[in-house]
Amino acid sequence: MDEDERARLAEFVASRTPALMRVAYLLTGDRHAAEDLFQSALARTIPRWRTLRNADPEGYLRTVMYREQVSWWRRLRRYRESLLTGAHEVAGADPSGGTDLRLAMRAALRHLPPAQRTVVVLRYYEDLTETQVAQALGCSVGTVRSRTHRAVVRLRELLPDVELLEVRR
Amino acid sequence: MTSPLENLIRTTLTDLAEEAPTVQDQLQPAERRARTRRRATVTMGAVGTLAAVLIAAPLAIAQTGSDAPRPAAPTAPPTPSARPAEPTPSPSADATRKPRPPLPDPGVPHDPSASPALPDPGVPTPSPIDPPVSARPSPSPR
Repeated sequence: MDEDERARLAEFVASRTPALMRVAYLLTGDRHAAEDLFQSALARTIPRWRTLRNADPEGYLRTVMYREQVSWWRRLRRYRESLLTGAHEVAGADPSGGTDLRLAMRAALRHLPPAQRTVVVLRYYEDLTETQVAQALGCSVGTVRSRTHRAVVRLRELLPDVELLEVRR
Repeated sequence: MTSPLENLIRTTLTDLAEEAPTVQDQLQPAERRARTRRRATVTMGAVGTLAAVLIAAPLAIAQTGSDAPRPAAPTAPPTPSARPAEPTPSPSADATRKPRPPLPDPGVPHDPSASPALPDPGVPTPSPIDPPVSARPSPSPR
């Protein structure tokens, strides 16, 4: 990679890192895991930068992040790490002044399996359609629907107060 | 139409995204990872190729050894007895060959050593030279 291409890559990384780190943080729910996911996806993107720079490098990087998050190997490695680091997580301050329900929702999101959590993030944060999510994850639309349904059911189970929320409405 | 639960999910995800950590330069660690990854890929490819060769080479050698004929024995010096028999003229020889010399007049005696008198084509003549060993009829076991 020559200097010009490397400068473009550095500019791309510097400009898109905050947005991509937000997605990585939502996908993983952990600061270190988010950093690891982003670096891993970036490491896979760098060798293809020459062909990607004129196309859509951010889309490629996002897709790599999504698929890496739900990959079997990464899940296995993360399971080992979570056994060591899970007890040291500290609840941060809630800048939105969230209610108990939001705090409970955060905890519930953390309990979702990676595949369901990824689908929830793509559907409700990235606002992608089911078809777009299926393309990004390389699976069928039916898989996306079933994962979304299971994730919502699981969130309802973990949040008993959601019923009160719907009644209040 | 969005349900309250979906609204809650969106709100919570947006709040969480605001708390995402800010990281410094990620390019250099990612480049290090990419180099390590490439090195690992090349190493694993070489190891896989070597393993394939180590497994396939003995099999290939065994396969070729079973098909090919046995190596030839060293050639022995030719012995007189091993010489093949010379061809004998046969009555059924090709007619296009060199024309035979004319037969002598039966009434005139001639020197037998002067010109080779051919025998009567209809009468088989025993060959003075033994046929090769392989041409001899072998006794039947019955």
